[in-house]
Amino acid sequence: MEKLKGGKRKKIVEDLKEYGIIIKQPIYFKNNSIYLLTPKAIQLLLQIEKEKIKVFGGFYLGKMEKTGLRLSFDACQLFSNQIKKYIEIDDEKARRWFNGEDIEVKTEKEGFFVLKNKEDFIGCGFVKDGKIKNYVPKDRREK
Amino acid sequence: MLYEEILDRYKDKKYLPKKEFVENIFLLLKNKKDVFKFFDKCYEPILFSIRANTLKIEIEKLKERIEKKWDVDWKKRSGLEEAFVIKTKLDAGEVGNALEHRLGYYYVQSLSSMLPSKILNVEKDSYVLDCCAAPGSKTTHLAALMQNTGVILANDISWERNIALLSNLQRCGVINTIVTSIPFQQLAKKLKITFDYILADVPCSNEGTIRKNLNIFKTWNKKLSLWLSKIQKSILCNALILLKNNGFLVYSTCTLNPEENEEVIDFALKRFPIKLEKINLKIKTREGITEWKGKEYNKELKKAIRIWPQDFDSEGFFIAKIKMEK
Repeated sequence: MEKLKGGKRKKIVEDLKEYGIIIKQPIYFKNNSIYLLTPKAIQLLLQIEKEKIKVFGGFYLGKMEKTGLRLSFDACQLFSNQIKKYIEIDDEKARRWFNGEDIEVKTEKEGFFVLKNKEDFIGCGFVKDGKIKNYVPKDRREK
Repeated sequence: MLYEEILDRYKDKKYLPKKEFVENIFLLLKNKKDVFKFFDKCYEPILFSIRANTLKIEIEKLKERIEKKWDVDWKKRSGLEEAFVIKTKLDAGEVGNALEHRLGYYYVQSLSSMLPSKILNVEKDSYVLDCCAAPGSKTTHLAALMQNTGVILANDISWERNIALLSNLQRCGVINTIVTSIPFQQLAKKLKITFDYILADVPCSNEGTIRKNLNIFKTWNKKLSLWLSKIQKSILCNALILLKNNGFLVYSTCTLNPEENEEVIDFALKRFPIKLEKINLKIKTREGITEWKGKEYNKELKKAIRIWPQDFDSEGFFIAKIKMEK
């Protein structure tokens, strides 16, 4: 995992700000995925790695796609009190969203948006031509 | 005689306890009426309970939502303000498939199993070790109690179980936890740091969870407990090496057998400069025992607690809180 500093960190911090999210914790990068850990957790992780013990961890915050930063499903609820870049949908569309379908949204804009149904932030997807692409993880879909 | 009475009382049941198990329960409870109450409870299915994940939702908000779905009993008066018992008859998979679960707003966990993390009473920004962490019910609870600050090192020997742990950490929005997957004794030898708080919820014979799995009556055997007791002693002693001076360790099991409980703590009391802390809860508990089958244990063990399913409508548990005093 690479700890993001300088320009790289600034870019992600700016992208997160677009969603309304302010991040103070260290951000880590691996295969285009972005992870969050507390400073003490990363300090301990590095210490344990030195002992040649495999360590896993970090909250998966999102992924850097060519078209921008896509927030993870769980980041949408963890930062629900900060998120400003969202589109509201009704219950029927939320039901289809949780079935894994791409759904129609009323916006001329393009890019990544968070979806909101009532008070819940229910994931992030890419909006293009009036449709939002579904990224709900399989284990979170309606069964 | 008592065993015959038990066999007769539960003759229509598919699974029946073994004679030695009944004798052990009688030795612990010392009262026939109480023994019957215990076994009656064992055959009574346990209700689902859930814990609000305060990293993602406020308790009151979750309460409002789940009350629209189910008849729930909020356990605030028992000192478990984040816990709810679902009294409604549920369909298979209903609690796990509910939207609130998929959004990480709650964790399905037994009431007794919420107590060790509460009793550890972790402070924000501290160093915490969870020795046998997977699948993560107590780790995610600790992270919520720490409000996602400091660090938790969560270890579990089983990589398969750790996959579930990592998935639960993500679902619950935990950012303060890192995970290792090696035998705890090996990890303890390699680590060069000490911790403010340690949770040792060790592998056990699961006697306390019979209500969830009556097959335990069938698989129960004395040798298993004796074998586990050795492992538990080793985990506890290695964990104590990693505990800071004035730091706290909670040792817990979901079993009732003294060989896996009081005997393990007694073993550590003989080898480390430790004391047991008094545990104050709002639920009915019983003292740890100081004598078992001719063996005498340290009197400090009276400060440990035993949770019996007939006293507190959940699983059977043993919990001891240890303070390091070097």
